[in-house]
Amino acid sequence: MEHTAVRVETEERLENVSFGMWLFISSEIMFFTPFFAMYIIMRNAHPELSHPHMLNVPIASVNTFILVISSLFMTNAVNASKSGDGVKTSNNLLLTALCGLAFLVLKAVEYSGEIKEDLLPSTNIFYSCYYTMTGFHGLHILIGVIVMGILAWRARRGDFTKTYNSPIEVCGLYWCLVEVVWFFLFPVLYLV
Amino acid sequence: MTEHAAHAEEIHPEPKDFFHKYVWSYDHKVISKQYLFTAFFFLIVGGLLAMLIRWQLAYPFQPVPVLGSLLHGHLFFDDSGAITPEGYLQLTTMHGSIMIFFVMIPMLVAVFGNYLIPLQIGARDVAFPLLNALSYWLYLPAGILAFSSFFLAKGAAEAGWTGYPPLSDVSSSTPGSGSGQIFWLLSVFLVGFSSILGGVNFLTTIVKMRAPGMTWDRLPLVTWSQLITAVFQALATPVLGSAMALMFMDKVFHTSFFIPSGLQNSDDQLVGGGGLVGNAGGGGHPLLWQHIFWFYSHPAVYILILPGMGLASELIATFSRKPIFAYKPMVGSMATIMGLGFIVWGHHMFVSGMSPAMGMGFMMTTMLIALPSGVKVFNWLGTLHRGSIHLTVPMLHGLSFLSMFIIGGLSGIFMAATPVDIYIHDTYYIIAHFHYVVFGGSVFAVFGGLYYWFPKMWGRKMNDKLGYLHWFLTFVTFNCTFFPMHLLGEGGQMRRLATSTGYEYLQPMQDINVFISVSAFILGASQIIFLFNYFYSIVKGPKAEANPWNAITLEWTIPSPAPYHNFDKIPTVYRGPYEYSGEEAEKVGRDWIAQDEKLPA
Repeated sequence: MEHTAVRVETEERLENVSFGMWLFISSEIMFFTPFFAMYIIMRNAHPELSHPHMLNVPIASVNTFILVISSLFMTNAVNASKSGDGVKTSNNLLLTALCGLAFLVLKAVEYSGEIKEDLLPSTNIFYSCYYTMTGFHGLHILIGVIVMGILAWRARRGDFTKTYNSPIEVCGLYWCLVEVVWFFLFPVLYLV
Repeated sequence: MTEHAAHAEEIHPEPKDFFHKYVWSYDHKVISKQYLFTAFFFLIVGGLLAMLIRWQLAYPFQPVPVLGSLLHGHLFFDDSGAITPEGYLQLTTMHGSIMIFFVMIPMLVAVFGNYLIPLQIGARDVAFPLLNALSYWLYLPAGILAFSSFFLAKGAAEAGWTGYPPLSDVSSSTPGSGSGQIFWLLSVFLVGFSSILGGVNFLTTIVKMRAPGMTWDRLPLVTWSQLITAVFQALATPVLGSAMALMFMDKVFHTSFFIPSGLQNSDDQLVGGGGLVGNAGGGGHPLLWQHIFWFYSHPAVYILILPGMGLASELIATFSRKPIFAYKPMVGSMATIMGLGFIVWGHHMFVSGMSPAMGMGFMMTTMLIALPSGVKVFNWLGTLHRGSIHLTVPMLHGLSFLSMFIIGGLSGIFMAATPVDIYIHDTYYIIAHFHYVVFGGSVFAVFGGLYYWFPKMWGRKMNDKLGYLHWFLTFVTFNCTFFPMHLLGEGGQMRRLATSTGYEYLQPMQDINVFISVSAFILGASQIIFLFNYFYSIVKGPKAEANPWNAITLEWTIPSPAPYHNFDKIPTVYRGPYEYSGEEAEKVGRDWIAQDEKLPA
């Protein structure tokens, strides 16, 4: 594999990469859509199973805030990589990953609180939906954190230059997707 | 348009060592062949399963020759070597799943798409070579998972390739609904993910990497069909992923998405989330699975046929030595099929319980698909009309595709009508219909494509005599196998029924079942001729020239086999892909002129 050589990316290549990522994001949206559709159907079929604020709203609110903040760091990372600043890119990626980790830790606290009250995925269809939707979202966060960790390490090593930074760009797009999914999950699961 | 594509593109260097050349290769041509050989393997596995199914239906619960005596007491066989009822369900489930997910979709999309897209659009590789390799290396473990599920203590999945809950969902319902079903879910999820990555890759490649002059109306129809299929792969396959994810949650984390409240097992115990006995959970809905599953799996039917249409168009135009009749309507009809393909899934569920208004809507949209399909058939016939038809081996397969697709398409319209469907739903009529489309249509197109592009892929030619023999035997025995199934279906024989003689009303039709099985065995055996011809010709076939069929598209302008970087210089395209026997061709004194050929001044 070509590690040491300075890579130069043509404009077309960059276009291809972000085009492909947007397609992948459409796929991801299609992956989450059935979950939301299913949730709407279940809520309508079993209105007695859930009511607003029955889940841990404070934790979820903090998590929402964390994700909003993380997008600031992500944007910084993308901009820094475009100007070829490897260290700044790396730092900002690490901060974003840290936000992701914090999100996951809080999520785990939230889960364990519910499990202690014997509210499990098998309890009823509402909790089935809750655990599944937040679980698959959490999985996406975890993947993002791992990818950002690797990219931060590569950025520090000086892999990314003014002319080659598409991995940071698509990572940013992916992180946006993950955030947006949460911005839909938060109101429909916690607030409505 | 991609005026800039002529720039030297970043391309992976040619590897020297065995591992990077043949195993972890980035080259689209090598990846295509990896898919091809893996799909051949699964074709043999799926075919053998079909042979066992036919044995059981012709000679129920009698010891299977050879396999039964070798494997008695294992897999699907009892101690006498006969197939057990549970074993039979494994056979039908895994035959369907393997043939669809591990043979036909990879054959049509991954083999031909990988090989032909970059060559036909004048690119050096696909947009994301690493992702391409990754797609294959997700497909292979998925295949291994599916294959290894046969060897689980309780056997492979048994709930049909559609995996309908609660049978699939409640782990105690049948042996195969235990770990076999989980293996099935994981392997389908993985192969779906591989398919998504492939779709994203191909879409980007075709949209962004066409050679200069390769405008949308000069794109070969194979590539057009791959583009439209890739939209399905990118947008419909994730929904399959969600279906698999939800059922996985049901089975592993005991959620109850597909378990209704108050479901009881045979001991009158309540069955709740994920089939936990005594759990009050529930509240889910089995129909939900059918909606989500068919939202993908109906488009999957078009993933199975559209590339076949593209391949057949290429064959029919080349061997009629005529431009394809009505190129733009050909493209438009494929796009229409795609659009409609997303809104017809409910026609699989007419008997599952659906409001009559919805049923009516799905019936209408389904029937509308006959229009673009009719346009395509008309245009193929128009292409053949007054053409100079060369009955080569690939052409015979192209014509078989056309005629078999008409039969399969027509029986599809029968089933789209709700009242008719209520009678023939889940009978052998359905089996006949989709084998006419997927085997009679797509498999013939795939065979035609394998014969047609063999010289480009391997630099050698296949044996024609064996090719004709294989085509003849396949065509005749295919029809003998699947046409009588229409009669069985009208007579009321249900699919997935392990015994065709156990019901009095079916007994008069048993002779038909025996006839079908005998022709199926010949059909299966005929494929040995093909495999022998294919592999023998790779090694010993006569050397092929660059353009043995006098075809026009870009892949025939480069040497056979295609060199590592495809094109020394990215070609410039001057004309459409099917300019046979036209004025420009006349000027160069041939009945064809390559897409990138400059006319003499």
